[in-house]
Amino acid sequence: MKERIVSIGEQAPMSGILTDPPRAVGNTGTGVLLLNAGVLHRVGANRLNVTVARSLAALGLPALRFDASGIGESPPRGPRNSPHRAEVADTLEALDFLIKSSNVERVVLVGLCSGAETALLAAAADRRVAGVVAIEGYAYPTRQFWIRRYGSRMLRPGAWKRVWESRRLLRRLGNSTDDADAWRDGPFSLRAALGGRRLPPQEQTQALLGELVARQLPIFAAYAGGDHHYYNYTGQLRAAFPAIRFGKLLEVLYEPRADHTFSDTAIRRRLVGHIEAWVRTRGFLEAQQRR
Amino acid sequence: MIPLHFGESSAPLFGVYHPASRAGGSQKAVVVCNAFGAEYMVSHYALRRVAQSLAAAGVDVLRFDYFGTGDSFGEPEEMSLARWQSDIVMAMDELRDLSGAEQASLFGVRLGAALACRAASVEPDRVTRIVAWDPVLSGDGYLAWLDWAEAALHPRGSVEPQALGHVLPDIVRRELRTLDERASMERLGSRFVRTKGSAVDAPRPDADGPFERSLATGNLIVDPVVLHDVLDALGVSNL
Repeated sequence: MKERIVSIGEQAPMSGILTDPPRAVGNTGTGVLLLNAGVLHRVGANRLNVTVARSLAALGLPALRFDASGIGESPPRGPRNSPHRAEVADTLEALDFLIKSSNVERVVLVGLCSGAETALLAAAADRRVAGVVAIEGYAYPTRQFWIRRYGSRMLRPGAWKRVWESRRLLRRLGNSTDDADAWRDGPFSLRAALGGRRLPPQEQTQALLGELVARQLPIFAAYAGGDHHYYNYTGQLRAAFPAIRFGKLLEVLYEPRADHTFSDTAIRRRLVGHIEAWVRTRGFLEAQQRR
Repeated sequence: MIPLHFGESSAPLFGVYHPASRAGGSQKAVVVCNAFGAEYMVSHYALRRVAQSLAAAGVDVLRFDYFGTGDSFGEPEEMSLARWQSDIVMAMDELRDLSGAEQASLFGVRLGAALACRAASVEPDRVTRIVAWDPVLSGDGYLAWLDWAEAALHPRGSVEPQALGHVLPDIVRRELRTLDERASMERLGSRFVRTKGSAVDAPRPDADGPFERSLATGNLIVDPVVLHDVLDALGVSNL
């Protein structure tokens, strides 16, 4: 397996590393683009991007991991109105580069956390995206989520008394005279319960996912249950969007003991194995025979 | 900033060369010796900024990833301290080829400081100085720190031996148990420079030492005061 250092774009070029499949395996015609997770450089949390790039390249998918502008080895490209929109634009530029430089026709995007969200947005913007691996991406609570989260605790002796007391505490700590404000922003708010994560309005995400499903885009979504606690059962993503007919387009991996970055090496190895299996079952290796 | 591969063609190391901005070069050169694992990840951005500042001050700098880490080739299971020590020597060779500087200073972060001491013992005439940022010099204490931090991250334990989400092979664990570079610090005397406020063998993330404090608070070490202290220790007169 060979890796090439590449430079993406003309002005303030982004830095990337392209992993070519071994000659004996050949090129399947599908590429892989790995996105930054937050501000972590392209190596990825616990080297996840390097591991995924090399394992998928070994199956015949040229894989590009790159640093969006201002992250890792890539210089900033000046002030932007919307950092999120800038990440999508950088991703589309890297996607274009991968297609032109690696003799591939379609690309699978892989992202963790903010990278997962960027991947889904970029997929909506470019039809050459053939699949998305979204690790710890969008997550919204459902009725079953709350039951699983608090149900068993509510059956414990004294639980309801504690809830009443914590509402009084919330009023004090929330620094607000209004209960509604405290529920929205205070320490016991929905946002705090979801790990302090900022999510777009659910209807906005529904429109995005609905569009991708209408386009028949396969999505592999992986969630961890052991850290931020905003996802606590396998079916939560489907249940959060009952209007979307995901069918077999969506495959969900839920690892209850994993943390946000899948830091446990054994669990991370399992995650990479699932991604490899998904790539196989979605037919991304079959193009090799057609070429 | 020039990213490059160097070393063995079958398993090259990834590095980034920051050429000195002054024409003709100052003939001062620095090899950055990374920390390991989670500490490597959180310090990446700060070290890029340090390298850029040094290059702007007329110093040639090479940052690189050890074998089996970052963007370099190799599996984590194949890592060893002995290999990383020779990686530093290889990086010094590469920087000499790139810049023409026969000697270089080594800037070691945490475990990278101990590895720098070891590399300097192999190539004493080629190392001008070692500048250390919160150096790990006692492997035994560092191992205890890693195990403590790992237990805090994964309180229910993990199937495989690891350190804060990074594979920690048995060979590295054994090497760490016998690693002791405290005598090197004494032997190097004024050639061993610590960044301001640096703690030697900080036992806990909340202990003294700017690097450790930044790690504990997840600040990715971009605190301008800390960076200023690091650059101060790396002042051109010290290299």
